[in-house]
This record gives sequence, structure tokens and C-alpha cells, in this order.
Amino acid sequence: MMENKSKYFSEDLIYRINEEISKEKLLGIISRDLTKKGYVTEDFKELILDRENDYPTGLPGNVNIAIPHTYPQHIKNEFIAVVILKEPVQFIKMATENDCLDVSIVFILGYKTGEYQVRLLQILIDEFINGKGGSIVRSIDDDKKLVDWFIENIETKLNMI
Amino acid sequence: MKGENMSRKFFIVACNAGVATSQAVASKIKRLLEEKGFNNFDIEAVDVSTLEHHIKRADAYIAIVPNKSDYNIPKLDGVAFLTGNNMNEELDKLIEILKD
Repeated sequence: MMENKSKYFSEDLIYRINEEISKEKLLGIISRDLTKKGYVTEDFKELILDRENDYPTGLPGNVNIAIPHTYPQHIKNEFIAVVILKEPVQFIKMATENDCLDVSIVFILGYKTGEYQVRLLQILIDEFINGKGGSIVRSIDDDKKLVDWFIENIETKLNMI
Repeated sequence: MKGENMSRKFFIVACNAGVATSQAVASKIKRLLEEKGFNNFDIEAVDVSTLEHHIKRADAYIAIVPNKSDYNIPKLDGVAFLTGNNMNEELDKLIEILKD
């Protein structure tokens, strides 16, 4: 059995949302939880929404994803939160002002800049935009198994490049 | 190596206080162009607030943030490099600039 240990992924950072919800409400709920758990500063909630409105992060692919993030100085402990949505949430496509995108998985990136993270982001994007990550992740009901999947398929790939 | 007798070109990718997104695009473009045998370029990820400054010496701008400004240099779709969709078309535009 694989050791459930990761620098970024954690069972308390897996969110499963089953009801219809707006982007604003979604980011609000998760930001409050991230603040409570000590991952981010108090002002994270406003900042991440402002930034998503100014610089949208929706990416189209096999599964449409969004990668909301904010400035490194508001991160206390590095993390990647995984939000699995039963009902798609509308985000705006990256580099556009109002192209809407129905997003099914959201990754909230809580990390500082570095070469390691650049590769991590690219692996994450490739797995979900071009690969089968979306359907695999949605089929795993157990949070611990899901974290193991992320460690095995995303994080350990960093060492293989 | 191609590009040895060609002039050196400078490309910029901009995002807001880049948390790896612009760096991911920049390093992917660098790798793709090097795989095609080009080495006569520099590519840099810059903060969008300093874009006006860097754009003056750039030969192309790769966009991953919304921006209506026209800088009189080619503007490319950076999202194509993140997702792979339409990537070869965008890469060809950079190659044309490198051959120029």
C-alpha cells in the first residue's frame, strides 16, 4: 500500500460539491475553509476572486478545468486543493474577457514560484486537458485513494523528467 | 543548429505576478523551439505590470491574460501552449519570426 504522503495534495484539500453553485460562492466557501485550516491568509478570499475576475484561469480540454491562484505572499503552507463538481460551474476562459467555460474540476493553486511548480502545473494540465485524468478522478469515491492517485500520477512524475 | 546565421529574437510571456503559469508557457515554448533546432531566441516570463517596459525590445508577445492593447508586434495565444490545442499553428508563427 502506498504511503499517503504529499507535499501538495491532502485529504483535507479534496472538495466534492454536488449542488449547483456560482463561481463566487464556490471560491468563497473554499477560501474560508483554507483560511480556517491555516493554508492561506485572511484576505485570500477577496484576493482570489478579484484575481479570477481580472485574470481568468479557465482552460478547455478533455475535462474543462480552472486553476485559480493568487499571490505567493498570501500562502502560508503550500497546497493544491482539488474541487470536484457534480454540476459544472461557469468560469471565464484564460486570456479572454468573457468567453464562458463550463468547468468540472477546479485546482486552487497555493504555491510560490519555482521550477518544481512549473513542471507540476504542466503535468497537471497535460493529465486533465489532454489525458484521461478527469474521468479517472471522478470515478474515485474515496478521498484517500484520490490523494494516492494524485501522488502517483502527478507528483511522482516530477522526478521522472 | 538552425538559426545560427539568423538574428536573435526576444519573446515575452506575461501574467500577473506569475505563479508558474507564464513560466510554464515560457519553458514549454523554449523546449519546443529547441526541439525544432532553433536557438536564436530568448524567452522571458514577465509580470503584466512591467509589460509596457519589456514590450519595447520584444519581437513577439505571448498572451495568457486578457489585453486589448495593440503593441505593433505579433501577439500569440499562450493558452494554446498550455492546452496543446492549436499549439503547432502558434509555434509556426514563432518559427517564422525566428527565420526572419
